[in-house]
Amino acid sequence: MSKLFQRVLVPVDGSRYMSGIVAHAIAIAKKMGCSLTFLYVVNVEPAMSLELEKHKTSSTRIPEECTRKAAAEDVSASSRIEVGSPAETIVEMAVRERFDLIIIIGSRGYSRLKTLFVGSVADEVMEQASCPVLLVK
Amino acid sequence: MVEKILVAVDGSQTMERTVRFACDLVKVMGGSLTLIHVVDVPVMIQPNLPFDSAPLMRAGEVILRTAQKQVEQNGLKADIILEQQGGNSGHKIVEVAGEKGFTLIVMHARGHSKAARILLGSVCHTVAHDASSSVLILRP
Repeated sequence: MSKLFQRVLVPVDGSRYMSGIVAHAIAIAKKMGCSLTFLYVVNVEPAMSLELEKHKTSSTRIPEECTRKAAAEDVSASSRIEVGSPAETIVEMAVRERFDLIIIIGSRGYSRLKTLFVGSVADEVMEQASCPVLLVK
Repeated sequence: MVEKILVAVDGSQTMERTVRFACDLVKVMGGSLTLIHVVDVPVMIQPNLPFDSAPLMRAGEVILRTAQKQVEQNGLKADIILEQQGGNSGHKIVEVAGEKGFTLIVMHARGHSKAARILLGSVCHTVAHDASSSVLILRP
């Protein structure tokens, strides 16, 4: 049997929900023997472009921290920083770099307000991705 | 980690791939498989109109048995659940998953929705939003 997934994209946002999804992704990678790419998208409005470099630099630690966690468990992982609209960037990168799974935090459904914040990027990714998407709740 | 997997099957062209994928997943990750099919019964405008859902339920049974056979051909076992629901069958899938404590729902993004413009079918959309378990959405 060929591997189910080989290249897995894990968008992370630095929120308090992040550690759960990182642990989940690492557990999956250990069983499947796939590699993980932790992606942080810097969502910058045009008016903020002057601050971009500062923002990028301060954000690199987010995916790097995830990569360290994965490496500590012998999972092959890398970290990436991209700039743009989060959902669009995730979907396009998955296509361009041939990822075969996106693992993302899904909304829980019971809280409208929480859905608004946690789920909106996940929503767009799940609608537009051309590869399988695992919504972790 | 993932243990109880609920696989939504609808008898569409994508079903075989969905079932095969679920089998591969269990072989790698472990866990149990349950197949669910929700028969889409018409929502009656007039409650008194006669409607017999038995033929639809029999067809649903055939769909489930077909998928179950495919699982067995992969050397695995699967339980089956046949339900019926008027309107969006996603609600029933979410309900069953919650009641029986499934930890992962596997389903295809489109199933019966053939129009290319539909990226995510309505059933899948409902499940992805409302389920309290994780959801794996497969693509063509």
